[in-house]
Amino acid sequence: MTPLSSGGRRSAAILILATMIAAAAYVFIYATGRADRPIRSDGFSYYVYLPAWFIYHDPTLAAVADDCCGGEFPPFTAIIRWPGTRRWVDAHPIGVAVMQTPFFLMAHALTRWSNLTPDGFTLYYQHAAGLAGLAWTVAGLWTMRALLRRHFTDRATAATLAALLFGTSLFHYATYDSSYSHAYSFFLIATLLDLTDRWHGRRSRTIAVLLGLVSGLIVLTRHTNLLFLLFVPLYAVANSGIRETVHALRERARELLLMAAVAALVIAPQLALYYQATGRVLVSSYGDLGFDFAHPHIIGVLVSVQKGLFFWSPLLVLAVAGFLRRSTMARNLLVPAAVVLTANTYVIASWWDWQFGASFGHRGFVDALPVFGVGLASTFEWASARRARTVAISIIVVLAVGMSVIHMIQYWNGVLPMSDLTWPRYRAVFLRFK
Amino acid sequence: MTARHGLWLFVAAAALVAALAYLRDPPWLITIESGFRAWETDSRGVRARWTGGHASFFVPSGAQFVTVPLRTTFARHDDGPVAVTVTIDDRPADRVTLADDGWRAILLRLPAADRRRVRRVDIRVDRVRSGNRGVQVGEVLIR
Repeated sequence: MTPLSSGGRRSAAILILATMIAAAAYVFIYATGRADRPIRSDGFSYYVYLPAWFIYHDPTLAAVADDCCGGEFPPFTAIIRWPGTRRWVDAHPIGVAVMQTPFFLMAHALTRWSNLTPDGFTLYYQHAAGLAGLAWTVAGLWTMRALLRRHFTDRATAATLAALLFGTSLFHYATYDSSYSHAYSFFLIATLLDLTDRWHGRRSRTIAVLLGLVSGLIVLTRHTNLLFLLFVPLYAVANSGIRETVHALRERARELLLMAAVAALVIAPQLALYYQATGRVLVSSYGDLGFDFAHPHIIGVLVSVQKGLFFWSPLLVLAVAGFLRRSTMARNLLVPAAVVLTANTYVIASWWDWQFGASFGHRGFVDALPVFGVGLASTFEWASARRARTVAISIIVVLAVGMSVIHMIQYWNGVLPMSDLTWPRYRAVFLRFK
Repeated sequence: MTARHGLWLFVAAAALVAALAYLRDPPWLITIESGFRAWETDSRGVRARWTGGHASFFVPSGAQFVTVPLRTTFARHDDGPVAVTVTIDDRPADRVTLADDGWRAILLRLPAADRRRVRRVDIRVDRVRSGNRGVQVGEVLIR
């Protein structure tokens, strides 16, 4: 496959500029005290494995609990003592920590060099965790660029990357809440799509191994994102049909087995951790909290003022429309995207706290933004064919991005509440920054 | 590798070395703390702040003595005594047990000044009160 445009300077320039803006926003957020230190809330429990492994050499988390918290993790950490064994079980898996490791090790070396406390929670560790999320988001955008440029013009690619970053809550999860898992999942899902696209283009054991690695990390980062792995087998169904796809997959059974073996190897340490803590390999790490599949809040998660995906990121309506177009890439993704996004929405809507607690927009969908990105690129390419379409879509995008940025600043300033927003409250603070 | 690439590599390496040299002993380290809550003032006007399980701060390396006032609360019937361990640059400096809710000042004698501008003082507790509160630390006196 060859790029449809040879230069790619426009999309590269957009990404460099976007990286600079995101880095400046990160500094602004912490310099002005808009956010508490980066390792907070869910970010704490995603990160806590690193000091446990590299500083206290105690994967049970007990030594970290002793040092940070006098022996007992506070309730906000979602790290619970497992009934029966009394050992610590972290609600959040190890994937984020694995991906933060290079940043953590640099911070640890710098901490020792500067004589700060090497406990895993002082200055350099904090911003290593914060900047790791930003770096993986940027890496995810570069991966998206590689994927999109194989199928769309550079202009459509550049517009998609900019719109995705600034017109959704991705920018927020790359900067303000960058220690959460979403920036990492964004990168991983983008890479899954890119590798899947390459793998269906040609036989390659290397790509199969990489797909296994990424698939394992996806599950390690957020267990429910297992659903996204359906992209690998379903990728070409829309173009080739079910029978042809099954036949093609059978022919590549060895590569699929290789993929599965690598993924299993990557996931194994998590299962070992669960086993040492609970005596079981598969556990519900949230304890009593769980899903209510009989009463999903579908409207709530899609269109409500509280956290509705399309209310807070209306730009994504254009992405959905893009899948209806007959571009090859969007068409390839149509079936898996429909299956995965529907199932993902159902799972998110069935979670006991369907708003996902304190969050800007619905953070459960940030992981799926690379999928929406393909639809968005398809729409942008369609729009670029005629001037009238370009003008109309440009106006819509500018308005959607503008509203998203305004909402984000309102959230950072504490004008918008972290959850349970009502329509009267939304109207009362509309366009207000204080 | 072209001459231009070599130049960029040299500039990057020089910047890294300069940054590391600066970060070895930066002047702003004296302002860095970790593990402390916000300051509170009690009804008698005494200012103090809670630590978590572990807190740290820096003092000038030229100082000879540091006095650290410590206190804890016994609000619940099962609140036991709190053992507090203090280290200076990771070397043991003092260990006290707070068995009542009165203030207790510990006097730390600092080793002779070394090549750094600051010394790090770490306070660790063996148990916390509800809400991850370790001990209350009052105004630290440095001589």
